[in-house]
Amino acid sequence: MFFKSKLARFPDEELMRKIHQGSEAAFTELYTRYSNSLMRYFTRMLWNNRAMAEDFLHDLFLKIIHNPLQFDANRKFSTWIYSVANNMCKNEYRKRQNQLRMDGVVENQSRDLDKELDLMSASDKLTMLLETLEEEDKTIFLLRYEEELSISQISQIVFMPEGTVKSRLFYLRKSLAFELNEFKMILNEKSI
Amino acid sequence: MKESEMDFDAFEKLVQQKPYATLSPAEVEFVSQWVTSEQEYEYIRSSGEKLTQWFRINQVLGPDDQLQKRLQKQLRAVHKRESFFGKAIKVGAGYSLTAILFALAGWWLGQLRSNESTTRGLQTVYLKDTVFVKTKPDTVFLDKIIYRDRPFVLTVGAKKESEEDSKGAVKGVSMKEKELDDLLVSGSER
Repeated sequence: MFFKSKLARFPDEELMRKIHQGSEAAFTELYTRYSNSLMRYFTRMLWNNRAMAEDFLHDLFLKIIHNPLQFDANRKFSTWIYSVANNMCKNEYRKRQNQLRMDGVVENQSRDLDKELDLMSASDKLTMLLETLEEEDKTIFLLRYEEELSISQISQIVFMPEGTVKSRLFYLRKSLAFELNEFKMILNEKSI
Repeated sequence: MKESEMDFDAFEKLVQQKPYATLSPAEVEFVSQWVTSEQEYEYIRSSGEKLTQWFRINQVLGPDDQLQKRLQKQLRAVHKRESFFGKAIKVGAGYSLTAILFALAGWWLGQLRSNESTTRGLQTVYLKDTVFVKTKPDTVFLDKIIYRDRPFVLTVGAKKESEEDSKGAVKGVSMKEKELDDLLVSGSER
């Protein structure tokens, strides 16, 4: 109990150093700090596939166990771990796109989207809108509004200038706002 | 739109906290950098509220507890392997260090014995192995002839001999010379 509370005060970077030395307690502390948020991120990014998200989380922490030296000590740990998670998702998106191309399936999400959106509840509509976002936009959006990271952290994770992150977030919010409010107007018309 | 000049965080905070109607004139001016109308501002505001609500409703559960146990097991296995290799390396290093120490001690003892045998019959002989021959330069140039043009002034008209000079020339013939001429002509007077 004493060790646990002591480790809770340690910064992530110090915990990584201890994990490199084989400290199980430090690993548990780091896992507790990040497993939920990373699980959330992976689940949202990987089409709400929980099993896949868990596999990705497992692989990510395995990387920390096997190659703790991969972590660049000059970077902030939270930024580094999200950038690794982001790269894993990027690879998965690329793999999926190649698979779809090989199977001859053309993704045309916008085809029936408007019709589908009209019939959905606000909550479902948001789910659908998030699902249809491009991989990069989805990452930025989730990191900002669900994980509540700063603009500077997001720019380091996705390797994008801060200005670009800001403008992308603004246009994403704007388009989301219009999509949702159009929906509200349709609902009002129907109720009348 | 210059993004760098705008504080996006401040804008988001305002949208989250205040409806457009309650904004101060300065705040209205500030948000006008981002939105063009009150309606746009309110759309963004209400969508933000919906988004927060959506995230609350659609919460993602944490990973399975078994995952943490599996990972801890992996960590233990990796460090057990590393510690085994670490021990093996330490033992190997110890053996090689001992071997090096023995080798050094042997070499040092050997050096001591060889030094004793060589100092006993030591004799120093000095030999001149190089002779230097001094040479002198056989030609020394002391003078150097320098040819130089001298200006010579040419005068117009020949120089006239003065009467005194001509008289002097007559005076210059002595009797001894006359006598000598006579003697040379006659050649038989004595």
